[in-house]
Parts: sequence; C-alpha cells; structure tokens
Amino acid sequence: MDWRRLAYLWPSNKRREEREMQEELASLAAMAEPRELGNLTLAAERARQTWHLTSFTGVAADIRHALRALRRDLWFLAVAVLSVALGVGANTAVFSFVDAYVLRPLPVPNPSELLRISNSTPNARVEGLSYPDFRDIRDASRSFSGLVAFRSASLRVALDERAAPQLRDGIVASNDLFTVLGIVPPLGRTFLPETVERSSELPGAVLGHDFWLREFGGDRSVVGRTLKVNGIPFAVVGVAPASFPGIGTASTRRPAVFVPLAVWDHLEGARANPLEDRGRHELRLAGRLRAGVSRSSAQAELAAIASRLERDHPETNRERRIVLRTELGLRLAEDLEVPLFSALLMTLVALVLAVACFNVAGLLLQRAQARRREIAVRLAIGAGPVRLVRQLMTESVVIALAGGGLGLGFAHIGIRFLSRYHPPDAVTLPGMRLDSRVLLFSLAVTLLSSVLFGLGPSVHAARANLVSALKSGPPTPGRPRRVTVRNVLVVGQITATMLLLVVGGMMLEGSRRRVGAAPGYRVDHVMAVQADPGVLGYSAARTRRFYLDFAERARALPGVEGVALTEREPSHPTDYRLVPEGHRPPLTQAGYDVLRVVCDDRYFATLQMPTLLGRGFSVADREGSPRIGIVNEQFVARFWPGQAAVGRHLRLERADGPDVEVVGVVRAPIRDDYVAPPGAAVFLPYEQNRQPRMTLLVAYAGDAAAMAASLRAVVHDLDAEHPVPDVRTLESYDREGARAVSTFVSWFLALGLIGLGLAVVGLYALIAFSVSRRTSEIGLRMAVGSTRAGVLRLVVRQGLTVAATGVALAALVVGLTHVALAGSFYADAVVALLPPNLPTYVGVPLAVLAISAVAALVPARRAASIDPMDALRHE
Amino acid sequence: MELLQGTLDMLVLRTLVLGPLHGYGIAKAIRASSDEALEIEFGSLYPALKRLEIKGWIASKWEKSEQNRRAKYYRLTPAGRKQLVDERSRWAEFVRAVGRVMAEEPR
Repeated sequence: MDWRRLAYLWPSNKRREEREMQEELASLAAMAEPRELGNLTLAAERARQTWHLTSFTGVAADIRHALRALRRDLWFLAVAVLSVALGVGANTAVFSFVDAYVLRPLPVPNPSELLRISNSTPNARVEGLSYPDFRDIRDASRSFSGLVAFRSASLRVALDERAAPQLRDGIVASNDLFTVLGIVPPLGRTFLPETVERSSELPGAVLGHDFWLREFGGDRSVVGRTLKVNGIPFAVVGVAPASFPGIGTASTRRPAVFVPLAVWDHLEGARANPLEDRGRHELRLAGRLRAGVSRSSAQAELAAIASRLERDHPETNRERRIVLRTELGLRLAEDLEVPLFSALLMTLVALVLAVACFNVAGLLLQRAQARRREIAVRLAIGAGPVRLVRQLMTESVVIALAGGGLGLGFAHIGIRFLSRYHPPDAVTLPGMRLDSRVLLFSLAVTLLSSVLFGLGPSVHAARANLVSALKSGPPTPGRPRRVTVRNVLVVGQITATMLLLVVGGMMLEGSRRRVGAAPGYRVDHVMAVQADPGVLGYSAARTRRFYLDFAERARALPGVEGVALTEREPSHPTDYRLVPEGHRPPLTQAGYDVLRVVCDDRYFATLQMPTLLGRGFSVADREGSPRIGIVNEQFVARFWPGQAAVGRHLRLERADGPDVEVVGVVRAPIRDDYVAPPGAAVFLPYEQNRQPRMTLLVAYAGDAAAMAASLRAVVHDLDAEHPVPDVRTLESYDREGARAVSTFVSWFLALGLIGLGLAVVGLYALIAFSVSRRTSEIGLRMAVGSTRAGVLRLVVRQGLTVAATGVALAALVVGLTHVALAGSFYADAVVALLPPNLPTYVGVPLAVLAISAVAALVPARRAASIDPMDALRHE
Repeated sequence: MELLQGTLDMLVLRTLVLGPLHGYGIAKAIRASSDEALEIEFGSLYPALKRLEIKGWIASKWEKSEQNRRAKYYRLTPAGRKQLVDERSRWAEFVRAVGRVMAEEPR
C-alpha cells in the first residue's frame, strides 16, 4: 500500500479527484474519435479503485459482515462479550473511584491555575498555616492574583433563635474564597471585605447547597434570615451552587455553612485568639497564579517569605517551609494510603482486563481455526492479507464495543459496591452521572482491549497456509514450533491469573489475621462520649473543668464501673513523633513515628490494660511537676529491646524537645488503623498535656441504650447549650474497623473471583483446544504402538510445561515486586495489608497447575479413546 | 496484439520520456511507435495513469493542447525515470531469457 493513498481518505481530496477525473475524461473524449476510447464509465470506475483504498466505503460492509459472522456463533459471542464487559466494567468502576479520590480536579473554573500552599516541617510533609502567616504571605507575595485561606470546622448550628443547636460540618474561609475559586452563588452574595464582616452586627454566612435543600427546602427567601453558629447570630447572605460541594480532602463532608474567617475568634469564644496566634497552624491555603508568573518563581518567593517568618518568629516558625503544590500533588503528599490503595486496585483491574483479553484472544484463535477454510477461500479469491486483518479486526471492535456497552452496566453496579464505604455526603463521590471523564476512560479501555485481543489472532489467521487450509480435514501438523501464539496466550493467561490470585490470597490472609483477633483490651461494655465544649466558646480552664466535672458525674451514675478521660477512643490514637534516649533522630525527620494517647490516671484500669513494670499515672502528676510518660511493650521492643525502660527518658517531637521520664510499661496493644499490627505507643498524662477535645470512656454494666441516655443527660446538665454529644460503644468502633476491612477485602475478592472465573474458562478452553488440535497426531502415536497411558503422560507433561512457564513468570514478577518494595516508603503498609504467606505462595501455583493439568487431561483422554484408524482417516 | 501482463506501465513511462502528453496522446503514441501492432485499451490505460501518479512516477498538470484545448498533461518525474531504467533492464533480461528458451527447436 502506498501512503499517498491515505490522503484520499479525506473526503474533500476524494471529491476534488473525482471532479478532476470527470473533467479530464470529458476533455479526452472531445479529442478522440467517437467510441475510440471505449467504455469511459468502466475506465473511471477502475481509476477510482486506485485511490479509493476500496476502504472507507468498505467499513459499513465490514461491520455488516462482522455482525453476520458473529451471529452464526452465538455461544462464542456471548462468552467474548461477557469477558470484555467484566474487564471494562471493573476498570471503569475502579477508575471512577480513583478519579473521585485522587485524580479529579476541583470543580472550579481553570482548576490548573489554582495551586495549594501548605507548611512542611521536619515532622510533617503537609501542615496548615497560621492566620498571621497567611496575612503576611498575602501582603508580601506578588505571585498570586488571589490568595485564600480556609479550614473545616465542626460548628454548632441553630436554624433560628429557638431551634436546638446541632453539630454540623462547616468551612471557615477568608472573605474572597468564592471570588478567587471563581464560584458564583446562584442566590444572594458571598462575603464582604474582612473589616466590614468583622465590624458588622451580623456577619454573613453562605449556605451549602445540600444543607439549603435539606433544611430550608430550597426556599429562595432564605437570604436575610438569621442563623446561630456557635451561639453567634449570622445573616444568611447567599447559597453556594450545587456544582461546588466544598473543598477539602477526599473524605471531607460537604459543608453545611461557610462563615468568614474574619470572625474565627468569635466562633472560638474565650479561647486564645486564633487570628493573632502564630502557633495555630490550621489553615489551608489556595492561590491563583498571576498571569505570566511561573510556579518555580512563586515557590522561590514563598521560600523567601518562609525564611523571613522563621527569622522573625523563631518560636513558632522554626523549620517551617512553605510548599506550593498542585491539587493532585497535595492529595498525593497528604495521604499515602489512598494513592497506594488506588495503585493496587488499578493494577488488579488491569490484570482482570488482561485475563479477559487473553480469553477473547484464545476464543478468536479457535474461531479462526474453525474458519480456516472460509479465510483461505477469501485469500484465494484475492482478498489481501491487510484486507482480511481489517475484516477480522472489525469483528474484534464490534465485540469490544458490545462488551464495553454491557461493561458500563457492570460498572454502574460496581460503583455502587465501591461507594458502600464512602461517606454519602463527602465533597468527592465516585460516580457515573454521565461523567465524561469516566465514559472517555471506559471507551479507551474498550478500544485498547479490542487491539489487545484482536490483533494477534487476526494477523495469525491471515498468514494461514493456503494450500493445507484448503484441503479438507484437520490441518496436518507441520514442523512443531516451540513458541506458538497459543502457547504465548496460555503463558500470559496463567501469569495474569497467578498474580491476581496471589494478591487475593494475601489480602484474605491479611484480613483473616486481623478480623478474628481480639483487640487486647476491654471493648465490651465501654462507652465513648465525644463532648466538645470548644463550640461553646469555653476558655482552656473552663474546658478542663467541664471534662473533670463530666468524669466526676459519670462516675456517680448507677451501673458505672470505671470512667477515664482520653484524647480519643483507643482505636484512633494520634500520630506523633519523639526521640527516645539512646537514639538519634532519623535523617529525614525530626523524630520517630509513634502513636500517642493523652489520658488520665484511670485509663489503664478502665480498659483493663495491665501495668507490667513501674507505675501508672497518679494525681501527683500534674502541671508543673516533672513530666512523665508510660510506654507499651511494642515501644520497648522497638527502641530498647532487652533493656530496662523505666527511668529512661524521651524527647517529645524533636531531639531538643520537652524531656519526659518513662515511669511505667503497660500491655496496651493499640493500633494506628484496623489492619496494622499494634504499634509503639507513648501515653502522656492529661494534666501535663491538656488537649482542647477529649473523649470520656465509661465502663458499665447493664443496658447500653440506658447508659447512653444517662450520659447525654449529664452533658445537658453541665451546659444546656452543648449539642447532643456523640455516644458510641467501643465495640461499635471495632465493628466499624472490621467492616471497613471486610469491605475492602470484598472488593479485592470480587476482582479476584471475576479474574479466576474468566481465567478458568479461558485456560481450560485454550489448553483443551491445543490438545484437541492434536487428535490425529495422538491417533498416529497410538497406531504405531504408544500406550494410552503414555499418550496421556505426554500431553499432560506438555501442558504442564507451558503452565509452569507462566507460574515461573508470575513468581518472577512477585519476587521483583518484593525487591522493589523492600525498604521503600510503602513497605510496611503493603505488608500489613498483604502479608506474604506460605499458603498463598504454595497453594496458588499448585491450584493453577492442577487446573492446567485437568484442562489438558480431559481432551487428551477423549483423543486417546478414539480408534486410531478413525483419527488417521481424517488425514 | 494484446499487451503482455504488466508491460503497460513500462510502455507509458517509456512514451513520456519524449515529453509530456495527455492521456489520449499516450495511447496514440504507443500505437504509432509500435507500428500499430499494440492495441492500447483506454479502459486499462487510464487507471494505469492514475496508479503511476499515486506512486509518484509521473505527474500531471492542466495545459493547453495544440488545438488550443485544455487537457491534462502527464510528464515523467525523476523517480519515474529511475523506475524506467529498472524496468528496461528487467525487460531486457526477460526477453533474453525467453529468447534462449524459445531458440531451442523442439524435437
């Protein structure tokens, strides 16, 4: 084929050529004698063929032909379409999930211009900034056309003067948040300049769209009404558009209300003024780059500002860099688990797709074999190989598109399945909703799969040996080739299946180890109460008083066995850093990662965590007395193995941080998250480490509902303005963790099962087909004296050789992955989620080899049982 | 006399060595230079011109004919000239080979 012909695919070129030809023929006819040139119409038609490629006009015919050919073989069509549909469906569903969590840009105009600014310290890659820092950056920076700050906050919202306040998620934002993001409220306006909002009697509040619909029924006269947030009246000035669900991390809930940052201090009441406190690094920043300013120059400017801030405010800004990132960059830096999990899911669905493609490729190959005569006849009567490949590829594309269409249906089910663990009111949600990104992705996957499974078999078929194909009967086995397309398919299929099953097996083992295990401390009949007097505007001293009173009154309730104050329930310890005695801080960060629990002197007794060495906390450990701490067994094993821990010292946060003496060792197997093994933890006394929000743990006997009601009544008694607190049993936290794990495991298991089902069908078909092709050879062997058993051994051995190649290849991939991950950032997380284990590493290869052996044996027996003369007569 | 399969392209290229000609002119020229022995069917010649043009061996241009009529004139391109040299030597070889075979009188 000449590439110049491709120009004629362009319709206007073709039309021009046609016009020219007619003109030329007319001019020649005028010169020649009548009839001298013969049949001009025929000449024109033949000339047309030279540039027509016969092609484009042929596509419709190809599709018609493909449909006719496929209709003849409905069984083949059904299996092929279903395979593609499962592959495309799984990929689309997972992409939708990954898109929502990681990839999708913010729903604002020109999202790529919008950059995120955060602090980065030796102990944290991403941290917030303080309001004074934000103010200084905004005043000093020339790189941004707009710079905004915001934070999520739990707010006490009352719809009017008399309504009971309820806890809602909200966003406290600088006044130009909406302007800089480019969001126009469909109703009302946004915030006024900071000074105006601050001096106003009624600062403005913008309602979230969902909240507006739910609480006000979409009433347009809501603008002008008064709302009470944390006890302060606000005027509703506008409603955010439905297209803007809020801004935050993947699991941030949609904000009910946006309130101006200018009154942040009022919202916090008598606590220290956050607008003047450079130590409260709590704000997230976003800025739009000014036209013509590069990211690197903006970053350089921010770095200069950061070092100036560090010089001027060493006590709050030491080693605090300011980092500029894209939205995607921030998401990847902020949370490691989600990208890791996404990568794992994407890899697995890619494997499922590979298995599906191998399946269809195998089927196509068999089909081509069955159609050898048809194909040979077409080649013989002049269809070029290219033309034939095109026809066969058209069939592949038709199969792929049908599968892709059905796959979207599967994807829809898959997305609902994947969304089960997703908060239904998060700012990001996976979904189809005619999402062009998801649809585009699935179309790309569909077309890719048609090339993957179609091209090889089509080319193979078109290269068929005409002479042998046209003869009747099965093909004479030619020179046996070691590497055939079929063998490559079988090896690929086995490798992909193996990898899927190995990951599935490790996943299952990981969850089995965890879900069955007891937590290692009392969760039975323990209630966790999260009260937050912060929303009442309490001072620090009054907050402490509130918690102590609450604990005292709870202790007096009938049926209560013990009460403890802690930062959060034991299944959610705080990530913390410190430097234990005898250790130097690691190179990349200021301290070692450990878990921290701030609690009172009753904590260990209430949760039945025995003290192994030294002592527990006492009332003597108060503010001003020497700072002490308690560590768990895991801590000792990690930092001071085989050494005495009691009496040794720790430095909190960094090598020159506050000094803490270890006074005891407890058996307290607390975990960072549900899947992880118990980690090294340090326990610090509440009185020496006051936190603004604490949780009350109440061990009790009797009915849970009655106890919860009494505890709520106590909070109401303490301050009637306090919103109804969250009261839950520790068991429910445990169950929640187990449910999360089993949800994730069920995703992987579903993928594994889909892959396994596809693979078994495909593998059996491929191997069985290979063997059945050798029926006549087997007959020949038997005729010259082979025994039945000998033939079976031969066939099974050959089948197993191919299967073993696939197993070895998969083992190589697993091994390389181990090597690549070893010592990497992700190693611990991967091992916790996917523990390597013997049953998987031995069981999966054996199972795969067994399936392969059976797949070879069944058709071999059939072949060996026929009369040798029958088999030979076919020749 | 009918043309041997595959020789038409060569004849067209050879004819155009003498100068640009239109489609009808090429047909007449081949007939004339073969002393009317070769009958060129226009239904074959015209698609051959298109084929050679796509291959880049000849190029066409609208010009005025000697009778002052507009006609499309074909001329040889450098690539076509090279192709002609190739085909000519192949043809000579073919003729020699066929000649050797046919020279032996059957007994």
